[in-house]
Amino acid sequence: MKNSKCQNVKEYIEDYLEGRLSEQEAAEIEAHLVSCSDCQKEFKQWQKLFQELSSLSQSSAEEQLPSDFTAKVMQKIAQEVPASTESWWEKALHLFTLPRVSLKWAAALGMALVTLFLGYNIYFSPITQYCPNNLAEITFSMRADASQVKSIAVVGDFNDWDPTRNLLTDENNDGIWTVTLKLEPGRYEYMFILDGQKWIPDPSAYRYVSDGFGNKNAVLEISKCKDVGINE
Amino acid sequence: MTIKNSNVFHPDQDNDLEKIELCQSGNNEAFSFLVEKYKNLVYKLALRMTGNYHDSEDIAQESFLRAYRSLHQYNPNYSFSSWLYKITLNIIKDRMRKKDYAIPFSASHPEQDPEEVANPIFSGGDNLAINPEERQILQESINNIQSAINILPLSYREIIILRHIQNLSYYEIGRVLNIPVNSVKVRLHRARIQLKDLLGKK
Repeated sequence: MKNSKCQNVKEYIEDYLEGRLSEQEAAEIEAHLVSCSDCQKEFKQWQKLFQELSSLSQSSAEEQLPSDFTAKVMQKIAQEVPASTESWWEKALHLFTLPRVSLKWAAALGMALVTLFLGYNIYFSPITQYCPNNLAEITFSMRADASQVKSIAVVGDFNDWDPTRNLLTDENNDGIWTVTLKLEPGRYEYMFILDGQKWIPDPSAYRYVSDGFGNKNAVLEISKCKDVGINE
Repeated sequence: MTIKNSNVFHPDQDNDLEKIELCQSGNNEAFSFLVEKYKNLVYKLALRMTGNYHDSEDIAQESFLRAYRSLHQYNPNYSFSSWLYKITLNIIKDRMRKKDYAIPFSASHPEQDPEEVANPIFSGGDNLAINPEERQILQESINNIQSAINILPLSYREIIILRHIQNLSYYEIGRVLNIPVNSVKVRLHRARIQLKDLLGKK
């Protein structure tokens, strides 16, 4: 039947133009195109598209950055790694209006915030907890002055370390930024990113783990959920 | 399935890994090797996504700085370039979301740098050994397709650029966009149909 043949050819035009078909399959397409003017017309449109894309690709090959680009990037990097004993994320902490916090302080503050915001939702030991649909509601929080920090994102194993997905907000302007996520039970490493640039581990994390390269990630562990549903 | 024309560029993953490990152990100079190797690919991606020279250089720079800072989170199962493209696209989307600058680029944009209008980024290139007439045809074709790409929704624009400009395989595109290979195929098909229709209207 002619129609089904045409349908078949249309389905494979892109693969044909990308060179993904076997010789025999390609020959079948070519044979049909010779005999069917409708398909030929459609084929020409596709061919034009691929040709134009290819010319765009070729012209792009010549668009190059200035030759001092690499040097500029490396210079910026050198500025970011000062010869100081203070770690990079301790420096990041100074952004906040809090008085200079020592690590001990940060930990204490962390515990307080955890109690406030993470509350009963997180446990390290496998304690069963109530979480509907097997999802625990986890609130991430961080203290930061909005005049100094414009954005805080949480990135981690749960969002593929994508800084655009989960942003913390401070809606009531109390200096505490939060975001609540629904997460499946499991172990997640995560970090905060301030203004899209500074990576710091959650000061209120229960636990940190070395990433193996001299920095620390915060760790979140959500125990098994006990779904207190109607079946129970 | 073999993909014949998908890898114009062959990233040397082993060599990259070696450099990344050196960076992670504190050797910053190793990073300059990676910047040098990938800078123009990242730039090209930004340029085709935004159509703006100046922003693209800035985006390229931010991409490498962000990559450097998050190098400890780099997963060696990804190719370094895929990971880098992912970062670059995130930066671009982030900027679009914040409306830091107008996208897509158009020649009539009021803030358009006059130099860029006089010397459009879609230049056919001086190195191509073709005569002026052919060059003009090529130029028209390039302007044509770029302005059509600029009209595409973001998710279509990025997949067209990753496939046809960056020459990534379906698998690599899946890694960059975090979608399964089948979805790559479907989305690419839809994007091409829309692009084809846009070109057909001219």
